[in-house]
Amino acid sequence: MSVLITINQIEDGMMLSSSVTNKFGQLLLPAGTTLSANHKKLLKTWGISSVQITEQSGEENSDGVNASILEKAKSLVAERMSWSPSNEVEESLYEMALIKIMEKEF
Amino acid sequence: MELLEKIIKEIKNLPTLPTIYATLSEAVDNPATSTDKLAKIISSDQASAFKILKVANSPFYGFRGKIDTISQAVLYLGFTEVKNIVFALSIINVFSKDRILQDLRPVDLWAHSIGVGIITRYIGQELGVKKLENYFLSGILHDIGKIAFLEFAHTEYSHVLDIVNSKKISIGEAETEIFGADHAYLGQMIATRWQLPKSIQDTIRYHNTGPVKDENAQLVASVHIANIVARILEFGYPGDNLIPKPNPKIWELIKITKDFFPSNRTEIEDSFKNTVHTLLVE
Repeated sequence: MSVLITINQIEDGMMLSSSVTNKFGQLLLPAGTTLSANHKKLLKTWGISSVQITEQSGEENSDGVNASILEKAKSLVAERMSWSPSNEVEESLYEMALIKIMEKEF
Repeated sequence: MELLEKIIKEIKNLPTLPTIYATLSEAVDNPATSTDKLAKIISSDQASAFKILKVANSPFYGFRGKIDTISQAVLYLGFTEVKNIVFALSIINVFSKDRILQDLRPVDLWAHSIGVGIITRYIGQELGVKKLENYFLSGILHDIGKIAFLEFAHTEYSHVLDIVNSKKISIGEAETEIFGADHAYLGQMIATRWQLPKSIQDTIRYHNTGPVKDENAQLVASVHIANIVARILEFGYPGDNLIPKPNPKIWELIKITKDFFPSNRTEIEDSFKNTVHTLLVE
């Protein structure tokens, strides 16, 4: 479900499907990170040229199927989780739940 | 409630723990006991010794593949931690594994609990807790009350699962509807019966609510979060599939970054697979 894109193709709200590491294997951004313009700048600074993102969250020319997968995953998570994250760690838990369900169901 | 009284009576009649654990506890409590002596006691049960070595080499202890003998395990992990692994093994064997009820199997409950134990230990490590010994065991035991319900009120527990499915409520709430008490309450009774440390009694009692007092608060909070993460990662099955909201107060005790779980996920999953296999399958 993941697709490789260049740094310039990054748009706000895209989600990393695999972690970004530097050449020494050190973690820079974990899988599941929702990307923003700031990340784009950081990635350029780190000399990273491409990233793997979950397909459905970004492409403008998406045929709608992928967006619907994300919606489906969100609604599956919502069935199990009746609360909204109120801090960054809770947001990371929500994203992990979303990724886990996407890995399992699609 | 008559039913609850019946279960409590069963708990009071629970067997004391297996001999190897009793002998080991005595030895650990005696300051004169040497590592070799302890290793001998454990090695007297070959099957346990083999499993202890496998667990001791799990990634979450950080000595992956380096521990070859029970003496080394005692040396690296400490007396108490090795004793705790023996204890976990004994408890899993005290209760039957064939009490399957609808979609709930004791092995899945144990798998969930082992997952919680592993995540709790990772959290403790991240927080720089010095006395980590009870972190793994607390997680393993947190749902012991559910195991007791399955064992002692098998037929009635089926109603609990029906309510969980029809009302989409947590298993604890459903237990209270049927029995007038939940697994946290029952679990603490078992912990008392077995004279487990107060810290473990507290985690069993408050793992759903989060800590209610300062004593052992960080451990209780760690199990509270680990239970939520184990549900997200679908480690085993705890009887309902809900992902409960963390008690907001615990974030004062659990100071971790937003990257902590995503970046440790793979290692946590490896530890889980390895340990579940050792404790439940082999």
